[in-house]
Amino acid sequence: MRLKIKGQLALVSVALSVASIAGAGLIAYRSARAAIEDRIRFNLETLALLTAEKIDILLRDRQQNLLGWSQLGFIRDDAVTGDADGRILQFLQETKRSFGTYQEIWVADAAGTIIASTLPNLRGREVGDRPWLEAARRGEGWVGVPERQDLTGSVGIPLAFPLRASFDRARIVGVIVAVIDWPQIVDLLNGIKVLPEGQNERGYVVLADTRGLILSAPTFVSGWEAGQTRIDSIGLGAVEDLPPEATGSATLDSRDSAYLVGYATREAQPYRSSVWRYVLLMRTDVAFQPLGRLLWTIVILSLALAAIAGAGSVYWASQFSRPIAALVVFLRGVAAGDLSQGFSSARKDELGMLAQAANDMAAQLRGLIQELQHAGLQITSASTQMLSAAEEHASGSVQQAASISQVTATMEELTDTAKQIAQSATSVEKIADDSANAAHTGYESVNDALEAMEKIRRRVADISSKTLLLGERSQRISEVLNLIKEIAGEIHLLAVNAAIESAAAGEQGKRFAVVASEVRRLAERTRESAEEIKSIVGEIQSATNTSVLATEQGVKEVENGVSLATRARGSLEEILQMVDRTTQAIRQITFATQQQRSASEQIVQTMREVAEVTKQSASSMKQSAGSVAELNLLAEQFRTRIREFKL
Amino acid sequence: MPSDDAARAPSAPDPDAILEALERRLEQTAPPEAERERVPYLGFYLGTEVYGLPLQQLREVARLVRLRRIPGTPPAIAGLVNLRGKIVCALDARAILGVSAPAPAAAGFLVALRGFPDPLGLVVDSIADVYSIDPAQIEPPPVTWPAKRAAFFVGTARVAEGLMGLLDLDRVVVI
Amino acid sequence: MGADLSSLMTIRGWAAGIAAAAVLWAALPVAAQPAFVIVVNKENPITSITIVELQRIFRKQTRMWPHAESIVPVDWVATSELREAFCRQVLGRSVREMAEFWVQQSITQGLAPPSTQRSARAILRFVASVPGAISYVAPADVDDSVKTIKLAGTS
Repeated sequence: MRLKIKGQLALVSVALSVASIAGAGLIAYRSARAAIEDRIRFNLETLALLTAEKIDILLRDRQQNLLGWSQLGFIRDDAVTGDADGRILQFLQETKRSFGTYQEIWVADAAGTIIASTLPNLRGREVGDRPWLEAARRGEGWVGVPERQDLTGSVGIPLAFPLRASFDRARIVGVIVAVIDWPQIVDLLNGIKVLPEGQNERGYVVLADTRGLILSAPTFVSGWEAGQTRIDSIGLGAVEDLPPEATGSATLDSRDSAYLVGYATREAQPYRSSVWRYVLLMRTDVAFQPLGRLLWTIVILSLALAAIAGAGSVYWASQFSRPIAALVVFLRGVAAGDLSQGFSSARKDELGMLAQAANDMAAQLRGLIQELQHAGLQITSASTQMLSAAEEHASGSVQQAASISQVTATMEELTDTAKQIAQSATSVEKIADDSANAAHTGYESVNDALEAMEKIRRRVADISSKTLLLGERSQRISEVLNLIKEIAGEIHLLAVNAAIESAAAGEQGKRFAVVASEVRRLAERTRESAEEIKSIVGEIQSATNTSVLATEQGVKEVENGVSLATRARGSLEEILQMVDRTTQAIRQITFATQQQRSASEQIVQTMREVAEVTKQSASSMKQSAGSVAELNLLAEQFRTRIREFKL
Repeated sequence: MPSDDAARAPSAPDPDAILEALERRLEQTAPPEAERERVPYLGFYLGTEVYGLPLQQLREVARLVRLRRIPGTPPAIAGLVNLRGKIVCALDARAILGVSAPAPAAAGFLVALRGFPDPLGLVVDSIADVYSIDPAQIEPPPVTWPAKRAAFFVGTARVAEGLMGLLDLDRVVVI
Repeated sequence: MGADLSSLMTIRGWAAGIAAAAVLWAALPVAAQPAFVIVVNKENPITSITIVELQRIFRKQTRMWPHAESIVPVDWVATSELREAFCRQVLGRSVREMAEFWVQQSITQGLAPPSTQRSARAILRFVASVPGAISYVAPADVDDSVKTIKLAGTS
């Protein structure tokens, strides 16, 4: 028993510690690996970029130099003379000496004969069809690819610029060609430190162009020729599969191992005629060497921790198992019936609490058993008393049953009567409801009639007021017309007077007479129109008068109607009120009878129950007598049992 | 006042032009008549009958506002009228011509006459209109009229209002 | 006669003798060898040239031949004696003064001085291969790859 807990705990702690360390270690390992890979790839990429940049600057500078020389006056002039004074040759030799990156430099005339060259045996040679010669004749510069040059016999990049006559820019008098020494560039590339110790099979630089040809490779790679050998022949065919972005990093597999790769791609330029890709490779096992150490560290650490955890848990488990065993002994004693012992523990933790609880439990049990003993005595005396009481009960209940059945019969009669009353009340209620509905309908129709009449009255009042207004207005019109007529009369008079004056004036007055007659005519016309209007107005007035009368009549009749309807409404309201009161009374009757009915039903029900109960109690009394005897017996047994406990 | 007219004339439109325009219009509406002069007559009512007098014999026409009866004067003299400061002797045309219809209650008109030394006027019921009568159209008074009555008339002319009796003023005013 | 001759000798003779010597002395430089001859490309149709025209050519003031070919003057290098002689005789200046002239020209007009060569062989090769070329060499160096023309005002 002691061993089991310890063993389990030790096992669990060892497993947990191993698992956690291993898990954490695995995560750390993976993240470290990813970080290292990222870092190395980034470095390789940066290095590839820098290398590409450096080489490009070199090539560009060389091209710029050559361009500058092609502009020199004396070279252009001496190209015409075929370098008669040897000035060009002197210049080329000095230049080659001072710059050092040029393999050979020569100048050819427009016909294609070399007139000056740092390589003596080229002088006077006719070069035939060369791309740089044709480009120069077109007036263009030219740059070649790194490959073996047949004129010089070694690997280089040829650059060429045309020489224009100083006196006529359109005339090409020759071409200057410089070959950049390619092996120097290759040495430069091989000197790059991909690994701390330099380049070897585990980390190196390769330069290829997009045709798949190697341009540069380290010295340990044998049997390659710049511009000739294909890159897959040295097992790096995967380089051609790299994406065509300018720079990046990747992992690729060559025929013997996996590499981390940083690459930079450079587009064709005026100083470089094809697309070059610089590839820096580092073998992955070299790259991830530091991780091996990490892995060993993790393994050793986890084992050590596991051992420590196991030892610790064993010690700690024993701290628990000892007090538990003591407690087990105590509880067994309690189970056997020994309640006289106590258990003490000084601990304050859960075990201490457990010990305390066990103690309390034992104490409680002691108390309980004592009480039970007391109770046992009491039961015996009580049961004796019960037996005598039961016998008395049995006799009384028979009488009770008889009186109950009488009450029940009376109650049933009551219920029937109540039912009848309720039924008749319901029918009366129905009648009252119908009359109420009828009165409501009458009331509503009277209300509608009243509303209609009210509307008519209002409208009529409106019409009569408007008509009166019309009468007034037409009265005023007549007055105005009279005024107009008067004025017309006056004008007429004035015109007549004017005519008289004009008649007196004689010849001069004739024209005046014309005016006067016009005015007269106007006055006449005005008067006539006024008359016409007056007659029309007179008609309107008579018409309005008639209508006023008519509407007044109508109003009177409407008012009559209104009063009648109001009276009818009053009567209907009274009817409605009476009906309501009746309905209310009927409802109350119904309700009361219902209540009465339900009350009597309840009484009947209760009586029935009482009868039932009485029957039952009689029978149960008989039973209880038997049970009490049994009870006595049990009490005796109980007392015996209690005596067994040690207190 | 001449000076007032002169001050007003520049701003007002030319009255002669207006008159000419009116004349032209009239000539357009009415076809040119014969060269015979038409004489303007004033028509007035006495009762229901229309009487006429040439405008040349008239001075003016005015409403009869206040007629002062002079007791003791013959019935032909209606009374005195103050016409714009001038005292005019009003003659009762009804009495002179013997018109039977009663005079209307409303005020009548005074026709002031020209060509008499003292200012004279005729009281009439109401004014009809001014008519241009062609002398050729003047007919002699109808034969149905009694001679005494017919003596007052120069002739008759038909107008819109009816048969107008053209009075001979010299016969009417005999004072 | 004899008596006449001696009298002649004394006055006219002296005069004639002095005159002859003077003429002879004056003619000496003319009869002596010139320092340089003017050479042009064989395709050039001209046969003689005046000093004024030559000045203008070597100052690059005249740029085109009458036959519509552009003029390409070629000088000797500044250190050679022939250059010095040509400068003085034709341009009337020293080489140094001409250098200053050319500095001014290059700044104001953007013109460059004529091309230079170091040896007679180079000059002759140049003139032979460039159709509008004109230059000067010592008389002894002339060969038949180029055409010689007379400088007007000399025999």
